[in-house]
Amino acid sequence: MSHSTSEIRKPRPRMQESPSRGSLYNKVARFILPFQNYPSAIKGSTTYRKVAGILNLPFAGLGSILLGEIEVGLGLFAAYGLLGFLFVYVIQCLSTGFISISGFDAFVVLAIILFGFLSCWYGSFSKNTSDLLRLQKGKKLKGSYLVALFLTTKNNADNFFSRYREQFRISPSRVKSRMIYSWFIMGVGIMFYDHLLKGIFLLAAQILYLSYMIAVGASDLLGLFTLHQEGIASNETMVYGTVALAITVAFVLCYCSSMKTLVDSIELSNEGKRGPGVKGELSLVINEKFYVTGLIVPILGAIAFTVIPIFFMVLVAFTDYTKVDGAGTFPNPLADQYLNWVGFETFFRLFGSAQNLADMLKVFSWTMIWAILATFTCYFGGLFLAMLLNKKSIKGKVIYRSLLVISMALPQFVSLLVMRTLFVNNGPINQLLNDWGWIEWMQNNGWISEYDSFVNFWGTPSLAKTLIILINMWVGIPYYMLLMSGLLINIPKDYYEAATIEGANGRQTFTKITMPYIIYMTAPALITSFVSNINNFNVIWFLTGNADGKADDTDILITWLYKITMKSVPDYNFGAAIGIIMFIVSASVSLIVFHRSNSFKNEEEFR
Amino acid sequence: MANKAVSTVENINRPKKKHSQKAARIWDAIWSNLLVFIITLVWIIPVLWVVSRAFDAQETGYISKTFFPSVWTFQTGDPFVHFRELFTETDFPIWLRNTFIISVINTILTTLVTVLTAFILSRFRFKTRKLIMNVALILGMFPGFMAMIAVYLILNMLGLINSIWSLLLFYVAGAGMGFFTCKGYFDTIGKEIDEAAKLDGASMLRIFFQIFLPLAKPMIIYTALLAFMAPWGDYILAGIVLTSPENQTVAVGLYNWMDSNNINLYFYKFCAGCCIVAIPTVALYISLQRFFISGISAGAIKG
Repeated sequence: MSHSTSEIRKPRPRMQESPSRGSLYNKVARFILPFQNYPSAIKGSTTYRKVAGILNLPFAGLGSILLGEIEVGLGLFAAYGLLGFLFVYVIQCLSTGFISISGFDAFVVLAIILFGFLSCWYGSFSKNTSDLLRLQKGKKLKGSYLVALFLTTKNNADNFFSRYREQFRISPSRVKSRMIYSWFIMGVGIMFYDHLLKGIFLLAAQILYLSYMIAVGASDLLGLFTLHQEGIASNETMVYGTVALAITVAFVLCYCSSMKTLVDSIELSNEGKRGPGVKGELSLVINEKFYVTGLIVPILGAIAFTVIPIFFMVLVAFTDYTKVDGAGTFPNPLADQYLNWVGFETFFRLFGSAQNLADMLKVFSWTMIWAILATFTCYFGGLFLAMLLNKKSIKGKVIYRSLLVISMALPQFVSLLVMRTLFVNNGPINQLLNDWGWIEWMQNNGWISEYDSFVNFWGTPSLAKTLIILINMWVGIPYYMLLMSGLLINIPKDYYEAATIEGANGRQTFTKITMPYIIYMTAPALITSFVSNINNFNVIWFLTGNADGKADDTDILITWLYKITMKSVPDYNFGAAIGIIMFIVSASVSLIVFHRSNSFKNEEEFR
Repeated sequence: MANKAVSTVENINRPKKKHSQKAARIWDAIWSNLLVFIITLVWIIPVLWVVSRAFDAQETGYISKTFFPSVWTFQTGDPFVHFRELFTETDFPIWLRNTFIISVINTILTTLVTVLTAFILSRFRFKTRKLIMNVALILGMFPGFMAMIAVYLILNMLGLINSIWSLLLFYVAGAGMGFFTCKGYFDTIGKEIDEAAKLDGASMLRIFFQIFLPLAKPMIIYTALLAFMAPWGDYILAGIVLTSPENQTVAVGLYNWMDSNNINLYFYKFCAGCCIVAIPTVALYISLQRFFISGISAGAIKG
């Protein structure tokens, strides 16, 4: 079987450009290109476009809005404005002494905000410049997606109604009555046109939907707005309401599909043709429409356990869902406790209170440093190890590789809890240090207090952070080692042969061939792993997690979020607000990079 | 041509560098082997430590005068005392059974759903395809467990709280979202084969089961391996949903033993439990390494 597999699979994709072409000079040239083009872009434009181009300089994104690229422009404008405001606000808070965080944290946070701000400006600037140039050449822009969506929907609706009227005019009265009652009863009309199964399905859907709405749905849907359903806890009301909303959306889609099928089949029947029939419908289900059948389970699953929960979480951030101290169940409808919508109050609490803001900036700074360090140490560590194991002179590669994989194969809670125990104050590592006399030596040097006979690994922030990074390397490097060894095998051998002929030494082949190839191939993986490190709960929690509910020095955003949500008096809306901020951070990182990475754009090229 | 060129270059260089080159190669071999040996040792020591503690007869808990036990259970004549206690005195057998049931069913269902989703997104072209892929990408960026409160409420609504089936339901429901790696791999399988089958009148369902699944074997094994591993490591959801001790999975149970209140009581049982848990996962990883490498390389390249 493996033989036939290799025959059918196409060869792996080659690099589309030679590695050396991505040199620094070219990058700089590409970077300053918008600045060079800007004057000519402004000069050749009409007055309106000139104004848009000039307005875009101080207000990034405004130019794109004026040129009709509404969503992109609005997104850039909002990000630019918010980041700029945040930058000024944080500086003001720091300078007036409103919050006090370490200079290093302040530097990291401000640097990241400034970087985001400048990239927004640059992104908007280059987009605006190229848009102006494109307009000068008489080409069209993509335009607003929302407007396009609206126009398409309107076109479809117009089309539908004109066809409906046309068929209504030419049909006999029996068909006319079908066309009328189909507005109220889904599915029955199309049953007459060899759409029996679909008709039964739609009819059943309508009956179920109506009975659901009458029983609980309508009240649930209303509850989403009021959050006040007699006898039902408000948090459950929110979930029920979200479910009702999802069901309603699905029903509307079914309704549209039913009307469209009706007109389609009447049109066919008036032309003297027949519909698919039961057999044809069954064949559709496993053939042309197999994608619908196959995607039902994943889509329903994703809606029930991903979309609805995320929607709920976003909603929670705008309510006053904070547990009251001492209350048993909260919110308790029997004690007349209901939640309320509070708008952006939670966000003001997050940014307006000195304690929360300082905590957030501190945690944010460490989150970013952690994500960067964790990604790069594991990436290059794995590359190094893979190249080392790739050498011809190493004996027993299989054994080494299998032993190294163990730390990754262990469930993370096992490996990480073991590591935590190794480094506790009276644990084995401290015991060893003591036996070897290092503790005494450190005490003599004044590095640890003479009352402590141990190194407080987890209690000293800097030590704990270093250890976290090192232990993460222990867990993560084997994964990258496997990944890299998979890739190293795939580098075309002729590159190396050519390099040998040219007389390149080992370091040159590494920097000019291996490294560019690996980076080109793994750029998406690097970003995915950066984002997943931002959300890396396990390493931080199993190593330093505790139930104090405060933001500790080693906490990253996600463990802080967990502590806030799981502490004895949970602060759900506060946690949800942090969750939204985390989403914005990781989503913008990945969107920017995915947008720029080739392998995501050229999906079809890899075929 | 090329071979000739190489040999001329070597001929010119050989007389001068022969000796030093050989010495350098030997030195290189020595330090590389040494380095790999040391790295592997560092990697393996923590694992050895846990295993050794499972056979420790000192009864001092995690505090010990020596790094490895000074008195072994082999010396006291009852080598597997901690394992026996683990299986007779605690809920561990039940946790193990729960985790195993979830793992096996999850492996089958999750693999099927993931592979089917990837197959559809790789082979069909329909209007909402791009939308579905982009939405899946964006949804994946939300910090998953903030939504755990809502997941808890939904499972509560379905009456599944404190049941292992809730975990299974959640894993399978989320399986469709992890199609990216699989789809990337399927995209590299030529389209000609399924087009030929289509011309011969095979239904898409049949193409999927009879032609595609055998072709995608490495990817299926990779997906199955990950699906099998997930319940062994999942702490967050299992910790929230499974409330009573007899319904827990090993991750939750063993984590609670390492609580500062329990650690002295349960430390040896924890070590023994770790050994038991590690056996299936490590064995699978090592024996299926080949498929794992092809899986992660395909995943990395396509993102």
